[in-house]
Amino acid sequence: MAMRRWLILLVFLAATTTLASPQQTVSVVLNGTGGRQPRLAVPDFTLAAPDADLTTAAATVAEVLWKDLEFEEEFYVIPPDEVRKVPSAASAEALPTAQWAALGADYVLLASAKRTGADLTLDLHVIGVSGDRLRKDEFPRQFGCQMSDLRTCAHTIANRLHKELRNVDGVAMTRLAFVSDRGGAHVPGGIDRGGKEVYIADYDGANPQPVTANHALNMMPTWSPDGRLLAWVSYAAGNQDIYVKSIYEVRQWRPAGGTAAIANLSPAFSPDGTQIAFVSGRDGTYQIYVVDTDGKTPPRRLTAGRAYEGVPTWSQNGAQIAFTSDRLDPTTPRLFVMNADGTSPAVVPDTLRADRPSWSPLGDKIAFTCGATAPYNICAFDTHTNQVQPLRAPDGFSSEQPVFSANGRHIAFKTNRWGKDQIAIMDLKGNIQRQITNAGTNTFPAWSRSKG
Amino acid sequence: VPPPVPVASPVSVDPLTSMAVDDVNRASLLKPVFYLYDSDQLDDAARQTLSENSQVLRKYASWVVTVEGHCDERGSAEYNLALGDRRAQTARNYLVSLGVPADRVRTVSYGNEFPFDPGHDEAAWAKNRRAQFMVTAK
Repeated sequence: MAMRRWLILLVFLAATTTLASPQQTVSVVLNGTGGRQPRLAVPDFTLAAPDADLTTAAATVAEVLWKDLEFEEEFYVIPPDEVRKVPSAASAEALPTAQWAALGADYVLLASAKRTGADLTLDLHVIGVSGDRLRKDEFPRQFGCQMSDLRTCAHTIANRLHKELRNVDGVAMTRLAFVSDRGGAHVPGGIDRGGKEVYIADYDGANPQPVTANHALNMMPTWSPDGRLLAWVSYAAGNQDIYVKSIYEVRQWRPAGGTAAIANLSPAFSPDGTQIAFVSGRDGTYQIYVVDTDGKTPPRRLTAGRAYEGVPTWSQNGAQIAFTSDRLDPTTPRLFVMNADGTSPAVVPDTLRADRPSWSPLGDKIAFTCGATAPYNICAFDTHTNQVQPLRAPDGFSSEQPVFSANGRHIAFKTNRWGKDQIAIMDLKGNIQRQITNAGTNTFPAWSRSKG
Repeated sequence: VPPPVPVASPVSVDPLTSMAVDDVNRASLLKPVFYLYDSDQLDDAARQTLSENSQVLRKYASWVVTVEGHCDERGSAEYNLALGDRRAQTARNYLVSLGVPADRVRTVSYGNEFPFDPGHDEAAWAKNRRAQFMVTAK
């Protein structure tokens, strides 16, 4: 056992030394007093020649931007009720800085909006209100927005603010995929059964739209690293098979070669997007295989034996794959890690019952569904400390199917706390920040790593 | 006046042979078998049911059936897909051991996606832990 623990440690040392966050070496541009997060006020935008459309558009951008900033927690965003106590100002010179400082603000985001033809132009400034940053403009930027896509405009601004002022890669332009029965589809056949389709939505749940319309049972969507391909599992042809689709084109294919006798499930793209690891029953029990994304070469088997292996997830450098296996006990799948070629599989210490692991893009954590019986929790294995921690205190509800955001700072997951299963997002301390879905039953979240 | 055309005696026609596959499945000629919690083992009742199902498959020798493995709602979705596969495999293996040709019996796992009974108690769960038999070709 001691030897096995050492092996695990060595495996993770090798993995994590190459995965240090690039953000650690770059100084942060903008700070709050005493090194705490900066406190930012976002007053209503100033409008040039306001009409109803401009007023609504500016309010939409402001609201979405406010939520994006609050979500990433790089700024403490002062609540709107507090902000409205301070008189508005159209310019940095007119800003009542003493009143803002008294309210506890470090900076004020000043924005003015005007119509330019069919579009909206936003002038932004982030102005310091006290000390040596008094009236300094940290963010003199102009943005052109399409009136038809104001949410994207706000997300773009949020990403720029996070990158330029906090050196953080925000996720405001990423998307979530999930599976939902909201369309009320029925599977054709002699027995009445409900279908589930794959949907995609903005990362905040806005703009949900179906990706499949095959009236079958679909599940387990996952994104390619560039956000342009979606892979998922469908029973559309009878047995489970993996489908891959370009979300910008009509192209769709089945790289794993499923048949009525061969089930394929749990796809996971490699970090370079060229391969898909997946589970298949082609050799009797469920084993893990890898196939080229284009499906042009036959799948290669990675795991050996007769146990049931499940749900592969790649390390960000592509060198390793975490998965579940019941090889130690047929009723208790545990978390394992192996090299991406299938060599050196080893159980992760202290993970009792594990399901659906997800490796953080930062490389430092593997989140998974934990617990022997419901209510389930989400646990995280820390590859630096070799410790396993539950992320949420028990509250009687299940949290399952974790998946990390692109910057590793949040986890989307499935929970039954609102009655039916819904998708929600928590931070890494287990605080639930958002309910993403509410129509129908929604499961199997997947979070894109880029805009696509 | 032409002579009356003789018609086949209705007694000699088995309605199942002319029925569409969906209607055959609605008629539920093949009975489900049930499992204990978190188990893929066949008990005596399950073996008896499978024996009866093998008789039906012997009579309708062209039918191809899919054994569906199902689970109750306890257990995570991915775990239940594996458990459902195990259940379907044990049922299939027993049918094959009774002489049903292996190439006429396929398996599929639905995990906990299609409960028989939508309830949330043991009475419902007991009905949902099952292998169900669907005719997929005649």
